[in-house]
Amino acid sequence: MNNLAKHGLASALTLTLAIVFYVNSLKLPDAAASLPRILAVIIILLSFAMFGEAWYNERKNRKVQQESNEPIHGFRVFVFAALIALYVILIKPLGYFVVTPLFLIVALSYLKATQLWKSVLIALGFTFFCYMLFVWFLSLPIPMGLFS
Amino acid sequence: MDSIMLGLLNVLSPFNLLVIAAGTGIGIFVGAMPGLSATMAIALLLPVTFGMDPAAGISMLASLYMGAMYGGSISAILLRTPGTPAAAATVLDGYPMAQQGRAGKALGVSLTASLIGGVISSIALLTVAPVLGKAALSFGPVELFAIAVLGITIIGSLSSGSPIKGILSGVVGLLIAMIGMDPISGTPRFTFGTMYLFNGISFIVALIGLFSIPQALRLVEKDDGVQKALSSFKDKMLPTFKELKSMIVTILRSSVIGVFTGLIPGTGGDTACWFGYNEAKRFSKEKEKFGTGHPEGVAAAEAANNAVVGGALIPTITLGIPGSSATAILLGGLMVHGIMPGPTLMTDHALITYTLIWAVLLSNVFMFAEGLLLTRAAVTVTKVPNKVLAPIIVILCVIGSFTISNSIVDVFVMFSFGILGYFMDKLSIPTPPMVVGMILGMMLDISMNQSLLISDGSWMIFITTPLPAILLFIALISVLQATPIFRIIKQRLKKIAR
Repeated sequence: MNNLAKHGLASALTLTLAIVFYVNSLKLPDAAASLPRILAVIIILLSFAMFGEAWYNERKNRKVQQESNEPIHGFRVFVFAALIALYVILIKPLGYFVVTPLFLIVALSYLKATQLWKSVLIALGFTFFCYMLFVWFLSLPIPMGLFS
Repeated sequence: MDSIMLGLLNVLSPFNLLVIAAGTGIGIFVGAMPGLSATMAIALLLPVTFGMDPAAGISMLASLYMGAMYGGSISAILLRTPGTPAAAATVLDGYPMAQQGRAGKALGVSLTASLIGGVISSIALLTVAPVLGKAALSFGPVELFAIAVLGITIIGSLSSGSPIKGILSGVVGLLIAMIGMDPISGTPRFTFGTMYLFNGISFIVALIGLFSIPQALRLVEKDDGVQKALSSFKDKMLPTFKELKSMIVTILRSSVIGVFTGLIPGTGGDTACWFGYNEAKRFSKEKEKFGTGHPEGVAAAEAANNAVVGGALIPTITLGIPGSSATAILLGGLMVHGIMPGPTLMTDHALITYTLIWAVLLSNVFMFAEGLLLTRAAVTVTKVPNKVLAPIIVILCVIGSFTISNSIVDVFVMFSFGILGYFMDKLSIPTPPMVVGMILGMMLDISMNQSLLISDGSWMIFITTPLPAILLFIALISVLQATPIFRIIKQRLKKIAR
């Protein structure tokens, strides 16, 4: 996706957000609706301005930001983000002690960060450290899941 | 005066000294790791402070901020990669010094300059904040409205990249802050029938996601490069008295620059280090030495970035307007404990505020001592692979956001904001204005409605009162300079002048 298309999509999203909030504010009493309405109108104007700026830069063929030549592993980022999503979904039902070491071992192995035995050691060590810090030292809750 | 002394006594309690020492140490280590920013470290440490006394928690976060400013120079000098954006200018002379076998000296100069810069900014904070705080107490809703508008427009227009994107990010943050119960009428707004949204979106959850998840994703998107790093250094760290004397004017000048840069919302250590470096070069009689391993270059950049800390805390404490993303998180640390930022912070919560101010001053001493002891150890952590750090950051984000209110929905919200932050980063839309918008949203809403009640619904109140009118005019200028209109006016004025 080129730069203009990306900015077009972002502008469309902020525009939609502003319109949804503006329409929703029509149901509110005036005192509660006045500031959100002003903000929604400003966002609408700025969304057009952002797209206009991207279009102007594209026309001038000016690169806004110098990207580094090093390739970005988009698929790797996607898989890692998916692993995070899975971790977030499973931590409540299965619990911290099951999902955290599993997430660490799988993520470190997938990213080829270190050898498997080191990944297991890091996973167990860090899971224990976090538990000690949050629960034992700070008396804060963590999702226990199966262990609750 | 009593509050100042009580703050001093409180900061000297053994537990507070311990957390300040711990915060500074963590800051030095985190700052030394390339790819981890001070802002992210404060965001991740924020949940750890929930269980602490507010004064201790906020002091720990502030000392981490100070420690990270020095820590950033370690990798800048040894690896040619700034540990934090605020150490970018340190690379220019720090790395050549390391290549010449003077790595220890470069680190020592950085540490000494950081100490002096930090102490000067702490003194500025200790002297200016009470005076400004007293003046701010006379501010009514009209003034507060103008200050909030000015804060958001300046941080938006001065953020890196396009000012249009910066202001858009800030206004979206303000709109997100409108979600939840309306503070004046008690009407639920934009809750879309969801119970979770009745309390609004916690900006602490949002900032953990916005500042940490994108960082974790960025760490895995590229392969770890083979860095030709120095694994140790053998030369003496501390500069001699003669060396220090030759640099003292530069250090003092950079410190003043840092304090003033910190005062302006939206500008932080990354701007101050370049500003300090360029001014040092401009005033120097040995301009040609800059960039070749000149200790003065290191001192200029490092004094400026540490001096930013105290400067940025002045508007944060006295007005409730965060000067940078890091101070925005510090404000979050106060809000977690039910302390609302604003002019009353220095009166209603004087003990906490003055403890924080003394903690900033004291963290410089800890930074110097720990810097001398821990710098060699911190060199080792620069070798931790990014791919190991990324999943660890994720775990701290997930557990940290869960602990805020024992809610898994908070974790989902944090993750959503993290993904949003990643795409914003790809489009060069700055995230700090969004967080500041989320903080200022409530203050803006309440002050606007109160002002309109005072004036019987007339908007003229914002123009007819002198101080708000001036502040709003400055805000308007900062918005206009982001538009082509400003460029056209500037060109016309130039033509007329000719």
